[in-house]
Amino acid sequence: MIGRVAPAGLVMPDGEVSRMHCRVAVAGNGVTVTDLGSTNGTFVEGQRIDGSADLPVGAMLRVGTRRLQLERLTGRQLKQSEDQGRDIAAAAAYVTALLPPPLTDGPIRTEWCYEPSAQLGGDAFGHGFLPDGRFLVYLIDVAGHGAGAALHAVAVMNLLRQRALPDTDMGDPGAVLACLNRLFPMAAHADMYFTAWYGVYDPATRQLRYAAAGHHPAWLLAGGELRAIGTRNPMIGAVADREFRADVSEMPADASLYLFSDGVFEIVDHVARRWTLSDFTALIGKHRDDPAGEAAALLRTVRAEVPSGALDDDFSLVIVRLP
Amino acid sequence: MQAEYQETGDILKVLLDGRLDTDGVHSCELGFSARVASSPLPVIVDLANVSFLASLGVRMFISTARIRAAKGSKMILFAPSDEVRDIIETMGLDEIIPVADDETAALAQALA
Repeated sequence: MIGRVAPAGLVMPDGEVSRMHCRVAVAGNGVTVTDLGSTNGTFVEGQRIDGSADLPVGAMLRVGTRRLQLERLTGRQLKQSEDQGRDIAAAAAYVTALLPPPLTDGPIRTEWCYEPSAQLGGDAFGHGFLPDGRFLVYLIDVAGHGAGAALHAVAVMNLLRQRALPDTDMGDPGAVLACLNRLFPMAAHADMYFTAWYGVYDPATRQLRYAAAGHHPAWLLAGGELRAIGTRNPMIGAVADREFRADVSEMPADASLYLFSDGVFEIVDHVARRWTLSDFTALIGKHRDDPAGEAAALLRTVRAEVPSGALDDDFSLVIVRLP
Repeated sequence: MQAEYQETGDILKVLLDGRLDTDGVHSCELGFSARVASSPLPVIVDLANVSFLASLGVRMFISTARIRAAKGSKMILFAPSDEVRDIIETMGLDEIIPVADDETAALAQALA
């Protein structure tokens, strides 16, 4: 039984799901689904069913805003799938453990939200202070999914966490990206590349130096105005021996900087519309007073737009509050 | 994702149709890489019917272009939609692989 409340065996807390919505049952060698008089209907492959209908393997069942797909696996396949799921969960937990705690004291504060996808993407981010008091923040996104992408992200993140780039000023974003480009060429790393945004804020001068490589801009919200903060460079690892363009901006008072991966906006919503960057940036600042925090509220808002409620890519968002 | 290969004497034209997302790349990458990387002809790739370009699609183009570049061969992308062009420019792909507005411009670059 599928419904909005117990005693349904599969409870979906979805306003478009009836209390007792439908029943899925094994019948002979097949599976059938029966609508239990639901208000909004039960759909198989996009067609509303009347009473009962067969549910073939691979068919998409829609209940409210949620989509379910019937799969048939052998016992061995099921165990392999469960093992892979555990490995991915362990890798996601490891990445999470390497992320910095949010800064909740002091003039510069941060909050972030990291929600790995079921397949685990290659997102990572970090922030901290240089010995001279400057504040650095970065976010990387390795192309692809799975343990390979996550391992690559961890390798990059560990170098940045330890400020361990050889012969490189960690306060110079262009130099940092150029060094990463030398250290992580695609040809030597299983054809993997990554995009990156890296910035260094100097509280003494209120200047933010930044560079992006294959990554969309960060966004700065101050005085009710939103503007893009980024530079154009190719992704890290694709082209050997190149310089990376950096830029500098004055930070106004009471500014918030938003860094994020493309997983926060690359979704297909309830009306099958593929979101673009501007769909997400339109939400920035709208949930600032949410009790759960703005980052968590933005995740909640984006996830609510996805029919299955599950994101296809990692959701990584870092918000930096400047005084 | 559909991939069609048209060889016309002095050029190999590839027409891609669909979404170059994870599933799309998996369905065409092997054939694309094998056919394009090994061709001795200049290659132009029609993106007019590509509705979405994910990072794995970008990786497919870069990997193939790198193999061709090592052999001194050209690969030109052309006619991306506005949405796909935004992705190409954000990722800086056009700084690695030439991107032409249309087929005529792509041919001119490929045969130059």
